[in-house]
Amino acid sequence: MGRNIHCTYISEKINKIRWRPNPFNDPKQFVTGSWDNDENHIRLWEVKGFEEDTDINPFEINVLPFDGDVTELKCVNPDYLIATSNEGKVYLIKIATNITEEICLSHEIVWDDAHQGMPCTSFAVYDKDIATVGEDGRINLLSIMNKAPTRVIDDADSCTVNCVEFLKFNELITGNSRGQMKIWDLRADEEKASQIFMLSGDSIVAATCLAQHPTQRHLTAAGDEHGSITLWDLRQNTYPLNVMTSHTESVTEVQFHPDRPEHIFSCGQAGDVFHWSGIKQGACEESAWYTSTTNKYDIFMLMPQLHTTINSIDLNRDRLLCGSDNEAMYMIEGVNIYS
Amino acid sequence: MTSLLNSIDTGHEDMIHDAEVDYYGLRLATCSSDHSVKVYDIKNGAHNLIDDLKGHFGPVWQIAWSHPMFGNLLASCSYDRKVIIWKETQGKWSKYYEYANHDSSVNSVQFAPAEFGLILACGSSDGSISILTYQSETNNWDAKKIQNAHTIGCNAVSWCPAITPEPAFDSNHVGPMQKRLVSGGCDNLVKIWKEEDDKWVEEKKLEVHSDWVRDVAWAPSVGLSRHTVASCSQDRRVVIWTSEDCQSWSSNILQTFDDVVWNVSWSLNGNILAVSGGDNKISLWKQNLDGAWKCISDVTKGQATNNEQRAL
Amino acid sequence: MEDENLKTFLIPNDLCKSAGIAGTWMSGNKIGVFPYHNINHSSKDAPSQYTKNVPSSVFHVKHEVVLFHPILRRLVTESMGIFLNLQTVVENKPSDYKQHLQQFSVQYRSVIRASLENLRDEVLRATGEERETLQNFITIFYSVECIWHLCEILYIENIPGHVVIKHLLEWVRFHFPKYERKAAFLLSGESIGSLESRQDYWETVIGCLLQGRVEVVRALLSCHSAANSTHFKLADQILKSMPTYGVYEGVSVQEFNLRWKHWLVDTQSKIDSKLFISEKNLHLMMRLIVGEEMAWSEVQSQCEAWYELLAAWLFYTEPTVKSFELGAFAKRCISRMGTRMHHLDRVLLAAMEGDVQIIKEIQHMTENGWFVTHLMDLLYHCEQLEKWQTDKEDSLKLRHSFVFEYGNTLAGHKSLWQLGLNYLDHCFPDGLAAIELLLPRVPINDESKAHRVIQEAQKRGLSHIAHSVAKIEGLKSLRNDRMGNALVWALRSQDSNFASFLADKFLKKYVDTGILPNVDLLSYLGSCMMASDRLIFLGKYYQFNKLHKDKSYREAAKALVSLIASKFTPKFFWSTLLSEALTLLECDELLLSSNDVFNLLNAVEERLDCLCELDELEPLIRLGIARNLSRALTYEAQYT
Repeated sequence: MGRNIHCTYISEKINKIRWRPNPFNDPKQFVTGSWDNDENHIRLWEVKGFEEDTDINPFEINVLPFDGDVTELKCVNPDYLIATSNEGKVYLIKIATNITEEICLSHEIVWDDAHQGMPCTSFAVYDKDIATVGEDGRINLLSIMNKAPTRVIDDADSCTVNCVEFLKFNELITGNSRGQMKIWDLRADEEKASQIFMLSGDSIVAATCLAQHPTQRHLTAAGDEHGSITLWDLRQNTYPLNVMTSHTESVTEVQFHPDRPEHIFSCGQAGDVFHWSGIKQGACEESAWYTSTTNKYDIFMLMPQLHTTINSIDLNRDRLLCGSDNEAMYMIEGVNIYS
Repeated sequence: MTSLLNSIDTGHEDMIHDAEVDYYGLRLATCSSDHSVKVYDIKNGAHNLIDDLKGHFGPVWQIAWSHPMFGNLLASCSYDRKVIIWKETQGKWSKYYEYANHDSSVNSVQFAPAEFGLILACGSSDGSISILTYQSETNNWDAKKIQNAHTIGCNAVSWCPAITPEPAFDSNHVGPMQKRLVSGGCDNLVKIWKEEDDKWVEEKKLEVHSDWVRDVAWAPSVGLSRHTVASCSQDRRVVIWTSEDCQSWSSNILQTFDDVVWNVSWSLNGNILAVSGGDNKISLWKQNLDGAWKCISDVTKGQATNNEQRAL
Repeated sequence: MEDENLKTFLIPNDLCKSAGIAGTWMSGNKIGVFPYHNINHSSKDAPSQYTKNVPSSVFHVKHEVVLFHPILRRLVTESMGIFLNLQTVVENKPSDYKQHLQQFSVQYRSVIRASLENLRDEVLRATGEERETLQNFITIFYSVECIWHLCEILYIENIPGHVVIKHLLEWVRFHFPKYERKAAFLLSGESIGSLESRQDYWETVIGCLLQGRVEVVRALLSCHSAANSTHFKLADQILKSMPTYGVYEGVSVQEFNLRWKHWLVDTQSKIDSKLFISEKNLHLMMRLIVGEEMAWSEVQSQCEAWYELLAAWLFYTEPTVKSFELGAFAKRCISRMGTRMHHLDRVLLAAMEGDVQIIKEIQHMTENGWFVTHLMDLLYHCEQLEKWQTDKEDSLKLRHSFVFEYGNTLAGHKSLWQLGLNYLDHCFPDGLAAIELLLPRVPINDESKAHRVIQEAQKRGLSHIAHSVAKIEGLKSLRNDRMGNALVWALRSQDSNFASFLADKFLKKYVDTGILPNVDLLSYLGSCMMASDRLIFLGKYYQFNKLHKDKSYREAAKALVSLIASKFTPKFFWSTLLSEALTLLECDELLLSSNDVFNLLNAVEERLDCLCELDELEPLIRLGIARNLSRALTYEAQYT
């Protein structure tokens, strides 16, 4: 493993890993959520040693026991995170400093019956709004301000919904286990998708993850169970802009770089993590991902392929976090996005 | 290092005769002389009683779980000459089918490997073995009977695992899978049965035991198509039978124990045999590389007074 | 059965004591034990003598696996990576693969080291029983590290000419770092006053001498206040001129021996001339380096272990000793020190003697086969294992059996099951057969896990397992009243009966409620409907239904005709289908040709039996057909 890759073993399989945003500085803290263990946890970590040229070693600040597997985990803002479980619950968790100056994780709101006891698979956040999806086919619209759901669309989907993103504050996109992408207009009273299109022809290929371009929100990337990442310009849907096929097994997560969205990052069940750079020579940043010539992008493998699934990645500037089933988390420093 | 994980107080009011976990090891069923069958949730080390099944009018000897492909089914057999198949719907268990065509106590029930469909074999003290096959078209059970399988009585039945001639190595070559059973009875015999043209016929009679055969267990197949069967008897012996073709069997006496041996049970992957008997011990046996069977560990009864746990 | 390693476990229960026990296998490595007393059909059907005195319990007895302790999980997960990388290298057999193997050995050791360091940190924080457990782990893994390191020197590292003394000294220094640390402290200049006034000065000098650190010894001596005296200078001269054997120094063993003998004679003559007698420690040192028996007897108590003495002694008396000659020397050191042999001593001796017994000894270490599996795998690939077996095939069998056991142990764990599969992959064919048994039993509590199990099955060509898992998921969906999802699983399971069964459910629901469920899915069935005849019917019927709803009657009529001609219509659906046909027959616009109507009539005739329970429909249909037919014939006569 190269000098810029730091590995820490934590004795539980990591399903989700996320930086805790820091409004003033580069974040030094991150959270992990585990799965498939007898007891699962959400852990808050801090990294020491960024400034010095010493060995970087994350240490645990706090741990919160979790019922069931953590299926998704995201920070809403520096003080709140949301976690969902395969027991169908949604948790709003507060990160606060107590009287003895310790940072602690605590439950703020628990939506117990969000998915009728069936697994909640994913959620999306837009400011204070949350949209959750699950194996029950339901879409919940929640607000971190309120325990009562804003809206519930029962039987929104006949199949398991695996992933969801906000396109706008009043528009959602979902992907399901049959490979259908659906767009939902939340202003409409009708409990039906406003648009449906297929991820990959009419064969059964489940959508596994979704990502949104941070500024051009009509630009959407979806990963599927066969390892492809498909890019759409939703202004002219159904026909993909690009299909990127380097993963050999299911894509577990895909992400646009938050500041440099001409770079996409993805990880997969085969233990691989890729950096897709959409700017080839001469192309401008704005037009990245729109060009339809061949050789549209460069692909970099960010670390040697692991023998276990990489379930989750998160980027901040040039630092990438990875969490894997080998019970290790990796931090890759100096990801090449600024050159 | 062996350790006692936990104990489940079953609440049975008399002796327990069998305890079996479901396919995934998440639920435990027990049956008892108190005529009841109980089902517990044992996920993550917890144990909660899910249901108490009452329907037999005599001691319940044995229980068997179906493959999850057929839903959640549990079969039980009793002194009351009946076999009951229970079905779970929405967390509740109810009687799904009752088979009352034996003339004496039914001692043993076993579901066939899922590859053959939903099939149950029952061995009875009336000497016969029943094979009940579920017919999805008619939603009914069709019964075939092997009359006089063992004179005086059949004590145990066990299915041969479903092995295609070359398991998994050659997916193009799928031969017909042969249904086979082994049974043990009061005639001191172990018998191998096979289905031929819709009828069950005796394929082989294995004679070594000199007293009633109490239990038989066909080992799960690991690796090549070699068959292993364990049998135990009131003659205090456990015999390991092996065969390549189910025609010629060679026997290997594991050991002569200090007392009657009541039951034999294979671990999930067939590499360890658990033997329990009247010597109040459960011993674990494993085959070493030279093919010899060695005892690797045993569990003995103990006292509750000092509540000690010892590993010697 | 009277094996000394036999483990016995007592069940603490009164009922078990009075009645007796029986047991059955539960999942994985668990046995369920319960009080048992044989009664059978011939016993009297009455409550037994044991009723109601004590609760009757089922006891779960499990083989405890220390590797599953959170602190050792790192060892398990990290070493899997090394193991798999090693298998890849061995499969590809690059020309320098032996060198790779040595690197893998070092990697394994560094994982052990990291775990030991972890354990040492944790043991400081732990209390009570946990502390004891951790202490115990430290003892175990310290031994593992020590043995592994020696085996690496003797069997894995490719040492030219098998001259191992340098490596042995390194090994001893690694495991007994006391003298090096002290010397470093003394030389750091942090101690106050003259060095030789410190109590441990001479102990350190001699300790370093025994560990072959001649340079350090010279440095320490030069700090002595009498360093400039003649006998100190002379001693330094002798140490400096001591020949050392190194393969890369271009000196043959014979030439080295010649130089060595010369140096020995020279040094001995200086000792005999009593040149060092004024400083007894210096005198002792000189006697040690020429291998004087008496001198060695004086210092041997300074060695903690016989192998520490062995390395020291060989360095000064047999510097070109070959790895395979170590056994005899080891035995002499053991008897010299009167060592009481513990487990670690026995294993190390066996390793030096090249005794097959080492495999047995390593197996009995209580770390659940981690050590024996990985070391034997490595030794097998170094072609060392076969030296202990009658042939190569036997050694492969032996290696397989360890990997198989270890894989099974992991595969039975709730969280580490995938790791187990990775090991089982590397003991073909038994491993694959074990996977076939274990994989379908992995408990599945959500679809994401189901997909992982399916993926693992498909990777290994076990599609029947993938299909059966998909079918079970489909049944689960059905139980949760999620028919659409069930259908997707049915398609994944490639079970056409199941797909047909579900298609019927959709149609029946339509018959009962007039609403076709899950249209979001049905409208996108596409080629998936080819999975079963009934599903094709459902898909086509959906199309008809949609056209009809959208009032595209002409297209609807066409779809209906092809539906009826398809002969896939289920019995229970005929009346529904025909009553919908009726609306088309009675439509103001003429939609069906005479030919179509004839086909329809034929179908009705053929399926009269399905209609009997709805006889009020039959005359209506016939009437509709007759009327449409007359309209169609008239129309066709006019326009053709």
